[in-house]
Amino acid sequence: MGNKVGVFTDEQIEAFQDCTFFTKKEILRIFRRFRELAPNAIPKVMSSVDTNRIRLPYQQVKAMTELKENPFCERICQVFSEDGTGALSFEDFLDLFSVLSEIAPRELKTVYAFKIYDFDGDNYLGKEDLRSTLRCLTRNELSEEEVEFVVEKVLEETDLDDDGKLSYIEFEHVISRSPDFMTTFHVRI
Amino acid sequence: MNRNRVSPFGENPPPYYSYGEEVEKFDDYYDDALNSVVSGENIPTKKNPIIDNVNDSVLRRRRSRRSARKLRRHQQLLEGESNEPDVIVDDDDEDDDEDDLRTRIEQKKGPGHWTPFLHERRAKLLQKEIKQSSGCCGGSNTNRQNWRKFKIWKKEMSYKLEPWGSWLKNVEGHQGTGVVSYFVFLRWLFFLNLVIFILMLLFVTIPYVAFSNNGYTYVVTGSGVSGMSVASEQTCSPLYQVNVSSDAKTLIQDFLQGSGWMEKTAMFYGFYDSQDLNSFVAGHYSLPLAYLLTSLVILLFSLITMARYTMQSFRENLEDQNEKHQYCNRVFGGWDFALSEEGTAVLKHRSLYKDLAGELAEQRHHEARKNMSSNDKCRLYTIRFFINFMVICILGGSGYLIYWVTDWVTSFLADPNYKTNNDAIVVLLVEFLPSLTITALNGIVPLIFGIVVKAENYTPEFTIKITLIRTVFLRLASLAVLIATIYRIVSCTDKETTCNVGQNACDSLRCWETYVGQNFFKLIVLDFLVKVGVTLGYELPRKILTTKCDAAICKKIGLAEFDIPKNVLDIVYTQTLCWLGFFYAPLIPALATISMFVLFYLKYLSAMYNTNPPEIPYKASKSNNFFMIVLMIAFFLCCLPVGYTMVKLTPSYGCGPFRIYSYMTVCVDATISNFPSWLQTIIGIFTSGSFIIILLVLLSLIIYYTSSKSGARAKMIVMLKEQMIMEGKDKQFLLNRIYELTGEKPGAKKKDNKRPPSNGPRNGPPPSAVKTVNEVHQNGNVSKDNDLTPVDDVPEVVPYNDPDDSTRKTAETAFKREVTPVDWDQVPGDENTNRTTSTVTATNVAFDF
Repeated sequence: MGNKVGVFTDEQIEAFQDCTFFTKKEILRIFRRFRELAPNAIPKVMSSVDTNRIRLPYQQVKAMTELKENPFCERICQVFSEDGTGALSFEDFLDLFSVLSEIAPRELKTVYAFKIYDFDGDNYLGKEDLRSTLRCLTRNELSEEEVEFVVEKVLEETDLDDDGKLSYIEFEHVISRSPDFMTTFHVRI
Repeated sequence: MNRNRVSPFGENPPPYYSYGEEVEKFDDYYDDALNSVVSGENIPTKKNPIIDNVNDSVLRRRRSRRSARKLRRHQQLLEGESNEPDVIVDDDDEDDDEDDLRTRIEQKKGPGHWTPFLHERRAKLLQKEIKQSSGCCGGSNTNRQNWRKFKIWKKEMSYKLEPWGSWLKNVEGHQGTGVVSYFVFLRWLFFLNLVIFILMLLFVTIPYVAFSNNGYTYVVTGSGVSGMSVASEQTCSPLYQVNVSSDAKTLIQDFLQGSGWMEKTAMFYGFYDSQDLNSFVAGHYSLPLAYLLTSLVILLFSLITMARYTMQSFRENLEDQNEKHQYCNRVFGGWDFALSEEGTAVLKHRSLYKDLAGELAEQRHHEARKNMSSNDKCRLYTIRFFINFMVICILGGSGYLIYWVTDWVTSFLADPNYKTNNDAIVVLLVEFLPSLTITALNGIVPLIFGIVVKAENYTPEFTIKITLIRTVFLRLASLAVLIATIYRIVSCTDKETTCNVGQNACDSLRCWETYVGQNFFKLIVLDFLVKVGVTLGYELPRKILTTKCDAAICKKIGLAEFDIPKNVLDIVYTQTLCWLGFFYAPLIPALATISMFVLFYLKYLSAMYNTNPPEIPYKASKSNNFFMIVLMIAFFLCCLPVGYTMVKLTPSYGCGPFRIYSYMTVCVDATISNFPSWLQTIIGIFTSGSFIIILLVLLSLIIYYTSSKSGARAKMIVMLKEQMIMEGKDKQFLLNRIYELTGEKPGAKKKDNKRPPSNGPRNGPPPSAVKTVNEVHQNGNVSKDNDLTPVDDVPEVVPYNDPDDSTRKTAETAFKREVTPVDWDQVPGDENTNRTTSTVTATNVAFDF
């Protein structure tokens, strides 16, 4: 497997291939996309240290076409960045698209979706999380009353133990019944 | 929370330090939270239930993160890299205090902090590899590596070979997944048609074209089989003549309607004849048999691929039949992560908003319906009845129109001198009249349906459904009428005896199969032209009008919408025509393939540039099913006439591969009669009525078995759900119990637990929790000595997600609030509370009071 581009060593590429759902070509393409975001800051040749160390701040990652329009963009970056600030190293970046790729299994996607929707990070999707999700989805167009109504409805449908919030198990239960989730929770790159 | 930090600055820490403390608390909180989602290792007594659900191989945590960090820091120091201005680089060249602090934060983060699984998996893989290479089986290791490389290569190739992959991505970014599902469906149909075409080409057209010697040197195979007559074939074959004119205009006309020179090409049934191809390899190749078997294989192949395609999505949808989670589906699966275009994203926001608002409106609609007076109800039902009646009338009228037009056209064409009496354009128009009528009806009637349905006051979702059902009905009905009309013409009884050609009132068709083929040929051609016309002649001008013209009225017209249901029905219709026609015109699949191919690019054009995404949110998963069901129904409807032709209709004596047989299936009998007698007996047994009845009974038994099995499972699901709810109630009960014991009112507690709205993500721990910790500090209950206790010595309590979880949390908070410890040993111990007690005691220790 000759690595013509020379960005990574063969070992690196192989490690990436083993750890993500991507092929070599896709990894290199993703790297190109990553480099496009900040051509000056990212070296053409990445050592194994660089892939983890050099991080792009959220403001720069946000500019990416695939993420730009996503209302959950900030959350996604935060979830995937190592320190939670939204700054992504190349490995984080690769992880992000690996999870959002088409072949990633449902279980994995569900875990990350849960984290993305869990705005306050309390490990539950509480009412406030749901409200934030709804506001993101509709760009604040729903009135307060309507948001409340939908939140109540969602809890009514899913909250099996009546504690007013969704635990991961409940969330997973719902997602396994949601036929659209697998088709919508992915990004082609 | 439980791990109080040393403050090297004493009572009044400098501002940045307190910031650090905040970060720490926050980190603690966050770590714990994440911990319990991702890891399962720190939990002393119980395994995290979540981790059981998550596939262990997909989600793991990096263990040696701390050392890796250290290593990295060393490397950085050695390399002495400078900071890039706009990039965050982990640098540690800060003053010692802060560095120390950082290290401690990191240490604490160490095992608990969540890390992306990439690092983790790599570490594991490396470990594995070391183990493997140190073991005895180094040889198999390289083999395995090669195998892995091969698998990666295979995957890469399959991506490369996936046709139109990047095109789909573009569409997805522009229009969303709903529209992409249309394109995927289109691509699927394209390949289906391609396979059908290749089958027909390989087994029918190429053998015949390559090996036929232009005479009727057939070999009558089979002995003792009735229903074969060579004599009538010999007299009738020369009578079937096609007038080929060399006039350029007529040539084009013939090309469009499949007559004249087109009729003599391999496109149509009449071109083939019944000879055995002796020159073919060794032995002989029976063309009639090949023709029949290939057709059957094609039908079977279509059925199997369709069934597989349907089953994929059907399985998922079966679970969701009761529509219990529709709101959740909207909230959690609503956003299309693939969208990358600003305008589309705005539209998607709007569409989601409309969907939710529509849902709310529907709720109100339901409420209004409930409160509706009987008078209003009466009026509504009358309107609905009237409109349904009207729809049936329209459908009936359309059917009759098609019948009448086809009839009239046939009688017009039956006049031998029609070509000389009329202008060529008129003739062309008349030839195309049935197809034109059908296409026009397909275009206009759905519009009427769309208008009248508004008066019926259905819920929005049902409105879409019923309009679609009516449209499907119209499409299939119009085809059915066409087939019936053709059948009436073909099966006309007044025929001359020698060549079985109609006379007097009946139309004289020397080769009726070709006539049927021509009809479908014309329909496909026209259908294709109309699609091209609509895209280029309607959507494109509208786009130009909207973008180039500044007048308000132009802006108001706007872009056309990409109407997914209509588009899908269009291609389903084309596919139906292909299935209907391929038996009578073997190369019609080629036409359909080309049509689908061009359509892909046309629709791509219209999806990318000329249209907006549909405003009504389109549930790809649900509607796909619906379309596949329509396709299935269409398929079975197609099988009926084709099967009937094979079994019951007498083929033309003058043309086609079956000209010497009285029925098409006779050629199978003839072939079987040449088999050895034991094989004949076996075949006889398998095709006998008794065997088929046994088979049917067996099949119905299997169906009964599986259906009762699924019924039992459904009951089981209901039971499990009830059990889940019971568990929830148990938890509530336990909570209340704890409240009672701690002397707090559940209501007050609950209020306290509620978090004020957070302004942004990751707001940190609930303020109440922070406050309590601060209170503890201020009250001085935590002495300096206590503060200095090494962190690692404090037994860690990591929350886990079981019903006890929140119990413990609340207990913790309560504990901190009241400062004075409760005597937990006094807790009356029935079986349920015992568990809680032990956890609470653990908390007691953790707080180190």
